Amino acid sequence: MVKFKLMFNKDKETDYLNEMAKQGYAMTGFFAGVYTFDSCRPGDYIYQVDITEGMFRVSNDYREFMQEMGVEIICLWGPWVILRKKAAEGPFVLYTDVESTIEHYQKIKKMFKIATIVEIMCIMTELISAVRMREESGMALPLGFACLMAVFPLAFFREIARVEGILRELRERIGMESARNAWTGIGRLSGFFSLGLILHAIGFLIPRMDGSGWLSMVQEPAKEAFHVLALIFMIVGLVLTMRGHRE
Amino acid sequence: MEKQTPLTEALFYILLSVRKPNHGYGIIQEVEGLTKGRVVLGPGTLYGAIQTMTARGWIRIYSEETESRKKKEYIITDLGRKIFAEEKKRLAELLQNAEKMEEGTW
Repeated sequence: MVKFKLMFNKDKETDYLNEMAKQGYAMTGFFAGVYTFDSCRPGDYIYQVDITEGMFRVSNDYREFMQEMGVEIICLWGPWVILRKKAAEGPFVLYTDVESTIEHYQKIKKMFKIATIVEIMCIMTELISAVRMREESGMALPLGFACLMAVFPLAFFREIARVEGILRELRERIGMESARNAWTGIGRLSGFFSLGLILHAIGFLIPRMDGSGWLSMVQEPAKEAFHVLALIFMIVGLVLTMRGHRE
Repeated sequence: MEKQTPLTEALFYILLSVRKPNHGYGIIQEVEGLTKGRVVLGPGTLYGAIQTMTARGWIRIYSEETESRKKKEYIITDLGRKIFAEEKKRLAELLQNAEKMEEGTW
């Protein structure tokens, strides 16, 4: 079985994989949002998601260690590692004390911060290439891509804010102070804003057609409609975000 | 250098478990036994702790391979023993002072 799902929240992903395993679907692979599942006896496996220093690779140390623990490395995606263990061999929790859980979430936060910077640089490149285009038709493609790509930093901001919340709670539990920061505010950015960006992108990416015919008659209004809708969504998004802040 | 004591509970018990050569799974079992099941180390926690303590020179690899099965064993170093002794002194002080609670109020 194959399922498409975009998840940035590693805890939700873990829950999802375990829920699937409970229903008799054992995850066996992942590629760019596409999860593949084999059938298994319901509840055969427990899944966990870890983060490592490497990209698409783990050290031999890690591999040998997990093997000794009876833990299977199912797949690597970026810095993420998806692991599973036979449920019959007992409980499977990766991090069992506050200190190592804090370290784990700190790694996740750092990764999302780096990913955000990389993503923003890509958006800038697209915007610069859009500005350089002389003709309006040439600008549409880079502008559309820039809008689509802008959805990712927004999702990353939310994740950073969520992880920051978890970290604050964990630090409090062992009596550590944590610095106040602005992430929580940005994390409440309404989903409407991202939706607006996607609509903008669709508006830009609808090709402009020359000549007559009913298709070109429909296209211009459709493009405009997407942009107007996009603006409405973004305004609603901003208003909702502001309201969220006041509460 | 960051502050190294007090040790976290995990580091404390792992150091204790490698006073003689021990491998990953053995460490988990020993810690579970010593704490009567209260502390069960997860693989992520144990792996991170082993990496950190190896880097700090508190423990080292004792043996890499035994014939067919690959099983790394770890053992505490002199530096590790020193750190553990310091921690023990600190804990003894805590315990000694804790006795005062029984002496009543004044």
